[in-house]
Amino acid sequence: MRRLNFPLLLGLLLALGLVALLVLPEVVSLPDPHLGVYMQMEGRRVRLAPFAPGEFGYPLGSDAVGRDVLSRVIYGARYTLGLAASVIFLRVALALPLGLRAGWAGGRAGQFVQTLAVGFGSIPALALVAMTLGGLRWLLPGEAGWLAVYMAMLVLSGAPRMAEQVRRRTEEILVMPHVEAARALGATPGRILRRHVLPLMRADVAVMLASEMAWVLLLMGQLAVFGIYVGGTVAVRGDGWVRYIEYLPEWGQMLGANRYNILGAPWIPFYPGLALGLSAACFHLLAEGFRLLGLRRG
Amino acid sequence: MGLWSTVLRSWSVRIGLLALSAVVVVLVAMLPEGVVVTGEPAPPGFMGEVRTDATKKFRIAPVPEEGARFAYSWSPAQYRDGVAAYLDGLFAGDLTVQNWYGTAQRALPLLPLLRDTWWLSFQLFAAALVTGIAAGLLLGGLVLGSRGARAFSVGLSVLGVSVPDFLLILLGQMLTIWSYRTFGVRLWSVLGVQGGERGWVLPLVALAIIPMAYTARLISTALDEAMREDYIRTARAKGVPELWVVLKHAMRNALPRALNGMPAMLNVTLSSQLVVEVLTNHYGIGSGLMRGLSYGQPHVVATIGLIFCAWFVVMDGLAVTLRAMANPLLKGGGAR
Repeated sequence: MRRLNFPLLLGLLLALGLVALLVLPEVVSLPDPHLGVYMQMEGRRVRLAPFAPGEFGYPLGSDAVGRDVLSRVIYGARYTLGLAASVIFLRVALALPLGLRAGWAGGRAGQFVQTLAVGFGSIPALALVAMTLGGLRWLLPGEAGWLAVYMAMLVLSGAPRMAEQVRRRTEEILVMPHVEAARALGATPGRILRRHVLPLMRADVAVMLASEMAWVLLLMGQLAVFGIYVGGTVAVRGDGWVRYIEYLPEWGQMLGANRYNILGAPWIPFYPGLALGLSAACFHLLAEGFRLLGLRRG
Repeated sequence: MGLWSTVLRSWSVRIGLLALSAVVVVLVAMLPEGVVVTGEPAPPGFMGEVRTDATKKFRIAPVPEEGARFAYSWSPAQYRDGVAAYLDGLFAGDLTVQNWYGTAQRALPLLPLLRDTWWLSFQLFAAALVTGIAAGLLLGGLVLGSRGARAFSVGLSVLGVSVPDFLLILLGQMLTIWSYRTFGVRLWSVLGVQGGERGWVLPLVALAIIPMAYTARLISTALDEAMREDYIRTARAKGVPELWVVLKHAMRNALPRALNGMPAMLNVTLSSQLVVEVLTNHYGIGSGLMRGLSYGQPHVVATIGLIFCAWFVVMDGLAVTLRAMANPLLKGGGAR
């Protein structure tokens, strides 16, 4: 009897949900995620934002200046998943050639990658990135500089570990008979790595990509809890009131900037946190599912 | 290589890494010391403001060129002096801190405060680790039971590793808020240690999930492999009761294998502790780090960073020592 790959199934189901979130703004008309209204009339009563889920046509409630949380969570998928995917792309662009090169050359190159991985692994990534960004944030004028350093830290915190995984796998594949045959036939190192090593790493790379995506999303959420996120703050002023709110509908930012609302208006940080947490869980489950699939196929 | 030479070698590598991490942590955390405000100060990420009539809908958009309002420069000389002053204060033990929890503006000695803070964190960490590992051993043991028990064990451990800590805490907080509003029942406090014993429930549960899931996965895999070994078949053939076979033969041989995953588990648990403390208002070193970052207190961040690195290295070293001691190849002092 065929055994059910439960993690893969659940991961794919959640991934389908994420894809739906990404395409939803194209097929359904949603409220503008930047459009707010601070004060609304309920009969003769004046009500001030935030509005609870179900009130005034907000399915998941509104934030502190009356922006629709549902719309912001849906639009937020593009920012958050886009940011995490960019980080993964840069990590792969850095780690894959480095790991392959170190695996092929061995010796000092191998030791260098190993040392980098052990060094970066000696402090938990959250502590390392939080302290570094906390120290650097005062030196960076403007949002672009902050975004660049934020991404650079996310890339650097995981790239050495990925490079080390690639190096180990490359070393394992290089002793296989088909690689020896290619060497004996005079194939160049580039050709051997491209044609004989990389294709055998497909399954490992799939597991690694899903797993790293989960870790990046997790790290983004954890950093957001520490008040470290991208997107910037806006002060909205009316007559006699002012609200400092997050600007972009990015899940990490929405969670981090509103976590103090957990007692008064829990829906504001909860739904972005839920989206971020479920997407991290989705990629964790996919990685586990791919790993199981690989094991069962031998 | 013998047991003690392996242990000594791993500790010396870790102490070297600790020294390196300490230098990096101090140099990075003290970067704000070199900042010189040269004009109108503005918090980072500030993008301007929107003025609005409260009753009308308004669109929030960043004001262009607001980034230019930043007026800071960074002075290497001031940074150097700041690092030197910090190191002097650290070695003399006279670092102070202002704005500590509920202490208004009075300057307080930092190191005794951080010692108490660390102790609070350690209590949470130790309790979560013991609870998590005990629950994980039980959960992992279920893999030897019926098909349903096995599915439960594997499913729960996979979910435990997959679901992030902050989501668990948010769910826990939402649950207690909902139960309080609906039934008037306070399941646990969301106020951390100020909430009395109930304040410990949520951080403890949230932090224990990771060691539980990791231990369950490691034990179930190791038990699965151990139960296929010849000595298990021999013990069964001799008529040894099944429980005794599992506890004396399988578990004893599965534990050293499970210890291989300890360093990774400790890494993730310690990382998670920072988030758990911040979200559950537990005033440990995670909250202290958050406070240091938000109040712009680089010496607090650097000192907590040093404590954290030392703690991490000691825990990692202990895990490696335990693993080496449990390795039968090293026990006899023979070569691999």
